[in-house]
Amino acid sequence: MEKGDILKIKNITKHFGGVKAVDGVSFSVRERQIKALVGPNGAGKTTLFNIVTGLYKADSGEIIFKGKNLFLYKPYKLINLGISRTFQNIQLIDALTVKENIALGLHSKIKSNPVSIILGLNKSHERDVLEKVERVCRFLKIEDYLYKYPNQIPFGIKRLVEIARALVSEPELLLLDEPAAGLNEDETELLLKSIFRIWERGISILLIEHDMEFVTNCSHSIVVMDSGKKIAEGLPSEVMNDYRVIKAYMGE
Amino acid sequence: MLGGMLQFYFMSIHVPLVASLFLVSLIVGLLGYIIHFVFIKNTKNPTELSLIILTIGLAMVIRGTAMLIFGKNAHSVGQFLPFESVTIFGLTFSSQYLVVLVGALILAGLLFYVLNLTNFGKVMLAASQNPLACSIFGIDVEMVKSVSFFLSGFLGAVGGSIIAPISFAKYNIGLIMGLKGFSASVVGGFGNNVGAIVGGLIIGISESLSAGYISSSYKDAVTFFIMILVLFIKPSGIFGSKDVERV
Amino acid sequence: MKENTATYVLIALFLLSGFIIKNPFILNMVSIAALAVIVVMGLNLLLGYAGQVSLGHAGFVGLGAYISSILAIRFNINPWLSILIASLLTSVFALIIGYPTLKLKGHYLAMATLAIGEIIYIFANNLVDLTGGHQGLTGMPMLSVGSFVFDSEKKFFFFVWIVVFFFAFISFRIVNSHFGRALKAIHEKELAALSFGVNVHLYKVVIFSLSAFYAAFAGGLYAFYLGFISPSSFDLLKSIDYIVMAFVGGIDSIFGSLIITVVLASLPNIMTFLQDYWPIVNGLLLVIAAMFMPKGLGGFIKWKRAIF
Ligand SMILES: Nc1ncnc2c1ncn2[C@@H]1O[C@H](COP(=O)(O)OP(=O)(O)O)[C@@H](O)[C@H]1O
Ligand SMILES: [Mg+2]
Repeated sequence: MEKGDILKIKNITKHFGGVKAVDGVSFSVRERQIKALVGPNGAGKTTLFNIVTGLYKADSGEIIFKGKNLFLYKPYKLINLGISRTFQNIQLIDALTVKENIALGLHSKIKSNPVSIILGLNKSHERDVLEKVERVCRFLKIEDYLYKYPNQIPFGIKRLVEIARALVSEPELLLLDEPAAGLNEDETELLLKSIFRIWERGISILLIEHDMEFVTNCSHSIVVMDSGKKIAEGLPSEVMNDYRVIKAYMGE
Repeated sequence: MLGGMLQFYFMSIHVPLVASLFLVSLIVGLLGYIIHFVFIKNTKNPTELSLIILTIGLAMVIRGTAMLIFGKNAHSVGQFLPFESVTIFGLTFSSQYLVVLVGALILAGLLFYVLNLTNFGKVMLAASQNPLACSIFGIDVEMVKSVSFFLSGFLGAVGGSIIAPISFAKYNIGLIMGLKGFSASVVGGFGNNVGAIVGGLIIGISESLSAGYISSSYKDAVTFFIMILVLFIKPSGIFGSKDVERV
Repeated sequence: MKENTATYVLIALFLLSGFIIKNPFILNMVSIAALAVIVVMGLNLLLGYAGQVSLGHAGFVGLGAYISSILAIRFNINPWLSILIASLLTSVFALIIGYPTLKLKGHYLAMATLAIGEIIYIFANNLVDLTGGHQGLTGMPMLSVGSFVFDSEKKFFFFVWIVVFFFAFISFRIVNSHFGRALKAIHEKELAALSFGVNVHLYKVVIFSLSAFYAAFAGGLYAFYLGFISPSSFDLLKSIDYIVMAFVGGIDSIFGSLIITVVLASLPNIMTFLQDYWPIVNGLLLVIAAMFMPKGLGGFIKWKRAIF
């Protein structure tokens, strides 16, 4: 393993029926780096995220996180390794308050057994959880919404709640799937700042984004995908001038 | 179940065999269409759970209504062929088995033809796999679904009415027969034509064997036990692809 | 008011009504309904939190009833202990069935439990030496504590509602714990739950097994209370009855299900002339509920939520 790489994606391929959603993609995310994954709709970006987080099984290839082969872990174990994520189409639980949704991010950290649940012996755990949830909410400035339900809050806040849920477990690698999609200018601005502040805490970030401008503003390195393939990788300025990238974005 | 019941009804009022078979399948097919059109399409925020609950509810309504109309007794339905039994290779069996065998082969062939070789079949498969894309390409997914419901009602009714002379027609046989069909699909593997036939044969033969060697009271138990066993060992069935397993 | 408080108040009201109601027919009817409440509370956990249907819950009730009766009659085991053993055995059995089926997409559990229910029914009918076949099984001793014997409708009435309280208490504790939070996540957004460290498969299996425990325990009490059981009390139609009660009451509303269950379990005893129409009524209730109120009647009540 090359020193300094927290995540190595090696030659990943994934078919859905006849569609090659991801086709031999390799790249790495370095520690404390903000890496962006861009590309037109249907390029296979989300599919790649789902493979990294174990929701889909790759047909071939390998993913190494801090020297560990991720394919040997069950999907629900990954959060304990230090990987967590947000979803492109928001996956908040409608029946739970914002606070409970964020607390879900700490689920695997709560040790308990059936007896302690039935006897109600988890109060001290819950207090710890509550404290952590409140801390992360203050960090992202969403503490006003703690007791609201997802259908009572604005869209931009939902995105931040998703990020809070991913952040509360103090991951080392954060995967963000189109965090800016559907946000207005102010919200995007706020998001951008939040992403930097997360990064300042030493967390590596891999983020999918559609909007090139957003990406050039916030990432250290960019990978471009089109039709399942990686077509370019490099510094934002380099990639922006790449002929193939422009072509992919313009459509042929 | 409805297939058998209606077959019994039409034959008891002396509708000719072929005509009644046709009527029965048409009626039940239409009922399938109506179920989709009236109930499933109008369900608010359908989820997997609410749809299965809806299906159970409809099954109960149909079953309860059939019981009110036809009573709780089993009705015998006359054999389709004019002769009682046939002898092939020294084995004698009721002529209706011949009808069932031939009927099953024809239906299987027809289904295979429609699903795999006609345009409509391809559209049906496409619509089940990616409804959104299909609607973008101008395929009327709702229409396809309606036709599927018609077809499944139609086929179920044909099956029910040709098996009726052997199984009798009774208001409560539907669910158990459906479960046997499901068992055959599980054993053979879903979405696979050869699998469905092989699964059906395995289920059928083990049922007969257990009726012969253990006791006929336990034959259904054996069938269901085999299904559960297959779910344990190879949930995708003998010929199944891995689609049923979770990512 | 919070839902758990409201439910406990309701149960207390039922208990108090035991002092007023003199008619043994009604006491008996409401006691049997209370047993159904226990089954339905278990089924609610499965429907409302794992999003799965069991078409064989009457089979689990039957398993609890038969195993505990046979243990007590044949092996002279204390009735309480035999109910406990029977319930544990049944939940282990459910664990074994649930393990492979809950791994699969779609409604395999519904079909598998339909099959299990039928198998249990067939065995109850045919293992005549053990179960008495369709004639039924009698000879269980009465439940007692020391020299206090539950030998009247009234005594059992009080007792069974206290049991209902305990099961409701357990349900609320589970639902309001972090485990319940994870279950709600599974029901709505399974993949998100998986990503946040919830072992989705294990949780579904556990909740299915727990709901089988509820059912079997109620079955055991039923057997020792009535002193007579026969296969027809545990057939498919009974399983469907439980689904109707749970779904119409509200899949994640313990309060709603409790009320609806008492009503629906009692009505057929009061309106016996409608006997042949119950399957249709049940079916229509399911159709209407599924089409227009997927959260059941309980879904219309807005409770104050616990802080967490
Ligand atoms: N679960 C799935 N089943 C079938 N096809 C899928 C599935 N998920 C994604 N795809 C297909 O894979 C391709 C890539 O999709 P996706 O990864 O979502 O793209 P992106 O996130 O880059 O927009 C698309 O053609 C999409 O239709
Ligand atoms: Mg995407």
